Amino acid sequence: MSSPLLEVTDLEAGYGPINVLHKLSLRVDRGEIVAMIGANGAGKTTTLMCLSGVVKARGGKIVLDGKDLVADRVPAHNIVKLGLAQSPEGRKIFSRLSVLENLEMGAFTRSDKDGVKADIEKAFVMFPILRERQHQAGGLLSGGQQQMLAIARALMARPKLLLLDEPSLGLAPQIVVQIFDVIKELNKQGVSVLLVEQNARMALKVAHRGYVLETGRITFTDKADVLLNDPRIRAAYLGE
Amino acid sequence: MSALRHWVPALFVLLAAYPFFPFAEANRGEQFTILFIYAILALGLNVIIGYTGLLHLGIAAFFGLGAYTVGILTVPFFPFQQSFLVAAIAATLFASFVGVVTTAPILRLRGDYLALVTLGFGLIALYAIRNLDAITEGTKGLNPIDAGPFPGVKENVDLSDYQVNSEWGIRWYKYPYLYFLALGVLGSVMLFLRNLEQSRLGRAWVALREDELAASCMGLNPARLKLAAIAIGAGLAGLAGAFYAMSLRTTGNPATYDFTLSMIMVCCIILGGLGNRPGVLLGVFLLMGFDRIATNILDNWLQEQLGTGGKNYEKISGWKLMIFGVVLILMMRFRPEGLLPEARVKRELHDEESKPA
Repeated sequence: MSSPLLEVTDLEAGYGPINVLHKLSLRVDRGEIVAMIGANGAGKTTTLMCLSGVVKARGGKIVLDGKDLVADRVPAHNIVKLGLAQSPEGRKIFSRLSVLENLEMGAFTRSDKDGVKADIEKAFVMFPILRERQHQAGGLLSGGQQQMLAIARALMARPKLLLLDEPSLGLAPQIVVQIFDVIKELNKQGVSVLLVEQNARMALKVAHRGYVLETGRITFTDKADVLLNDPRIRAAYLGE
Repeated sequence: MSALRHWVPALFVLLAAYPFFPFAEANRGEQFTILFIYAILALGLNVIIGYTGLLHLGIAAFFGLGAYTVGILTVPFFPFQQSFLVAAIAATLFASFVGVVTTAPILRLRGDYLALVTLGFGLIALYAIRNLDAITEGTKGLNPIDAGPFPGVKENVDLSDYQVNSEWGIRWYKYPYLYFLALGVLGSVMLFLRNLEQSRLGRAWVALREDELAASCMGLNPARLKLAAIAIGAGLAGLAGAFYAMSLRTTGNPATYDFTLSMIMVCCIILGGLGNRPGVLLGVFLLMGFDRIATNILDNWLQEQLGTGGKNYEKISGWKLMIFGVVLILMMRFRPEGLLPEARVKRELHDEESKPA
């Protein structure tokens, strides 16, 4: 077994005087889908922002593919090049850019024009609706379509690790199912995924492993199906 | 609209031909020159506000820096005596440099906070210019500015072989020579910005304007992008300032470079269409054209009609600011995207039929 794709050890981060993450450790192996579940304010988004370099880590290690992002002080704009792309919470589509331009922005760090073109084509095959609406403003898409665009946009960087922050946020249940099917499909194609979700049941169903985050600390971690059947998790996060 | 699509090149051709028409007047031409200069200034500001979305309220400071750089490098009071070409390049680079240096510490500020700090910067620059008598001659301004156009060419280079009209001057900084030069530079700036918009940098600015967080998740470097926008915007403002000082042959009263100018420039680009080059051009020509040219004409006409002396309330120019205000309020109410909005803005505001339920 090769080294994990992402290994986070004792990560500390926060805003101003407040520390949000306390010695958080987690791991994503190559080819895995890992779900991170937790209540509001547990630090899920902060963790992802830290991995993307948008929020600075205050301590600990983030080793991506053998490179320590914290010790080497890799700035946010270079982390994408190292193979980590995020689809942020709330989708954050460039609403005045067309769908096509949004996809092109996702490939901003790449300089292989033909490869980018081929990947746009791939995105259109995966999400046919995006091809239909490629010249419309991103802001005019429906919520589900915007989420698809956000995922497709993140994929344009050809990441080894895709971070998804609440892909089900504000979407109708049917659309959520569609989105999760896409995540599974992507994973089959070789993309590792770190998935942050409030919709714990859906997330644990697609994931291989899961972490439970409570006030900045990992409190449980196990195989996803074990977590799904754990009575404490069921009571706290699955509403039973 | 399709017939009007090429109005910008058509306008440039018309303006280039203007001095050759029999009705052309030197006075009017000099007023047009000033309009071209303000257009360069507004296009620079548009890079900062329109493309990148940084609400900068101190652009007049860079305009002033450009004008004073030309003043310092050319007037007899100082030992430099450079040509306009050298001084204009220095003005552009200096304004650009000051832009980067003053913006670097405030890059983290967003929206209103950035606007407030830049407003403060504009005021500080203005008072510095006014009070640094030893360098700027205070409220007298630096003059006379009568540099030669290029290094080694004297200011009174004889252009009588190229005269369009025998009554007009033969000095290169007089109409129509400076007119052509300013028009040419304005045209070049338009082309430069068109290429810039389609470049990687241009698209990155738009992404940054739309959503800074998402942009940094895509691997864009917000700090560097913002500094690039300020460097180019402030540089163009400095270039405009250089031409302004040259056309007036003095840096004029420092009050020329005050907050009002920054504000009017913001109004011009909002009126015309934020982020859209032709829109900005139209906004400047309408607003500054009204300010500088139309009010004069109307004042004279009114005086002839009324036959009375020039009390302020009997002049259009006395009502100028109120007219500006009313126009802006009406614009915000009925056409918030500006007269010629950027295609992207239009697409967002007026694509109702394809909007999903």
